[in-house]
Amino acid sequence: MLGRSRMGVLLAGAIGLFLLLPLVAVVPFSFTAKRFLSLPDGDYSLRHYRALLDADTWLASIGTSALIAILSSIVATLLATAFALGVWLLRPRLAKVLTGLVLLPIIVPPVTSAVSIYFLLAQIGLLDTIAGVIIGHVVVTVPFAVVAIMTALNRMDRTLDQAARILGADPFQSIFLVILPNIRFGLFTAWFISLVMSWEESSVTLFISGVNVTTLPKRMWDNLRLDLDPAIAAISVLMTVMTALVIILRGRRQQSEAQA
Amino acid sequence: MSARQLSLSSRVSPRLADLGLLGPAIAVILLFMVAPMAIMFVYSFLQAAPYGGVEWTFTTEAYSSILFERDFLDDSLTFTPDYLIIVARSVCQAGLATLLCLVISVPTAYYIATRPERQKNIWLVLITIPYWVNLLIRTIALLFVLRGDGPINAVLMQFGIISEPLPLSYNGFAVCLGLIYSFLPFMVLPLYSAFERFDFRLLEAAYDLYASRRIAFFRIVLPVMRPGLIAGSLLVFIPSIGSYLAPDILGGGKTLMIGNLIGTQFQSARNWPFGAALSMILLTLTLLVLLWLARRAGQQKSDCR
Repeated sequence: MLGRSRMGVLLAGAIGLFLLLPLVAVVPFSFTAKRFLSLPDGDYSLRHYRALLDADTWLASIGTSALIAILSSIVATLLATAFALGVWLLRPRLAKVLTGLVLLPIIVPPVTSAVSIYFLLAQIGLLDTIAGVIIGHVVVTVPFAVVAIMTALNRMDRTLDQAARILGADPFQSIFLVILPNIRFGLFTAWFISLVMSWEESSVTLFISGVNVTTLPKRMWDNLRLDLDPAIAAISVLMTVMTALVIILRGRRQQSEAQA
Repeated sequence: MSARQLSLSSRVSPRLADLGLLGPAIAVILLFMVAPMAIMFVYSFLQAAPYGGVEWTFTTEAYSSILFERDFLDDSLTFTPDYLIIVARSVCQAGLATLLCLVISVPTAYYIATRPERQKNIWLVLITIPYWVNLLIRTIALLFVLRGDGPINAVLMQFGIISEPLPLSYNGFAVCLGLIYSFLPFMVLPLYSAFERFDFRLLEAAYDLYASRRIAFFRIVLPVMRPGLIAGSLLVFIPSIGSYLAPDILGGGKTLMIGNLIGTQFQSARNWPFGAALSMILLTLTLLVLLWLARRAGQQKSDCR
């Protein structure tokens, strides 16, 4: 048995390394003192981090991405909350079909979603606008928010809602005073997932945005196309560190809440 | 209390209240997902306008041009396998990536799920950090590792194992590795949660009944794990087959996949109907795989009875 678990450690370790190594390997590239993408040979420099701040294009893209992520994640969470509550409370006869419909964007290859959304936005003249990108992001994030909230609802005790009703709560009181507070972690997870997914969305965004609206991933993509300059390594490092911090903090919070 | 009695408000008719909750999300998906897919279907049968867009004449040109090339001079059709090869390559690359992810993930997920709580969390964070990092960044990061002057080649040359940098990037190998790297967490996590719920007493019972390790694995573990395996496979296969970033960045444009071909139709080639037709084919391929796997999951249920 010992031999087997040692194999397990090796394999899991190798996978951990495989997944993390590239993210770490970018770091030295971002500190090169040269103008082109290269490993630093003795000379380290922060100039490419400075370049991110100096060029307002990067900052503007960060702003655009943040705006789109905040708005689209709020919309997606509201839609998903209403839908999941509807399925849970009303248990409509077509629950499975309706849920399948809302989860559709998960099973459609992202590039297909991108093309269809492109056609629609072209029809209604929203191609390359903030509103258009928000629509695209809401569509691709809603299913994940729905799954998160449905998971939370399924863990909740149905009798809580029934008790509230018996004690005279009307449906709205029951929803806002009993159900929603009980699934608040699920709601937070749903919002968080939508926020991060929108912040990083590239497959749909690359199709539907362009000159006027440039999200951060789109800016990186363009940069990669034009000239592979070390700024892209710098922004990658910054974003990876940010993501890692958020994930670790969130994990801590969840753990402390689970213990409390 | 029945579900009907729990309808939202006595003042509004129940049906209207139902719509208030369920309606918005369904409307969004219908308007911005289903309707666009219908538009895409229609567009795939239209004539391409010269600078993007469509002309409203019915034609199957878009589909036939996947297989045949129209001669400019005498308008005759000749068979060209170029696009077919790209479609086949997409299926193979995605299938291979899914299979390899499966092979790597089963023991890993099993190992993580059987750790004590604290270690489990550390492993999960290790797997989830890349899962949350931007796909574009991860693909670029992998390119940095595989490059001629990247760390792998540097280490191998340092130790004198190779004298020339290995051609690790800009080929099919890099693309496949990129797909695995991109979507591996999507396989590990569902498998982990399946193992987490796995009742290990079943395994003990199997051993007590003199099942060998191999038989216990194939007859007990795999069937119970099947939903997790299928979910993981879909989560890897679907984004892989339509993958756009990995072939473009890691394949260096030489090993195109169907996603890149579709992308080109909206950038340089400006052929919307052809892009729509390719997307329809991609969608059909995906649905076929989905149905096949769903049927296998269904069969499993009836076997159990």
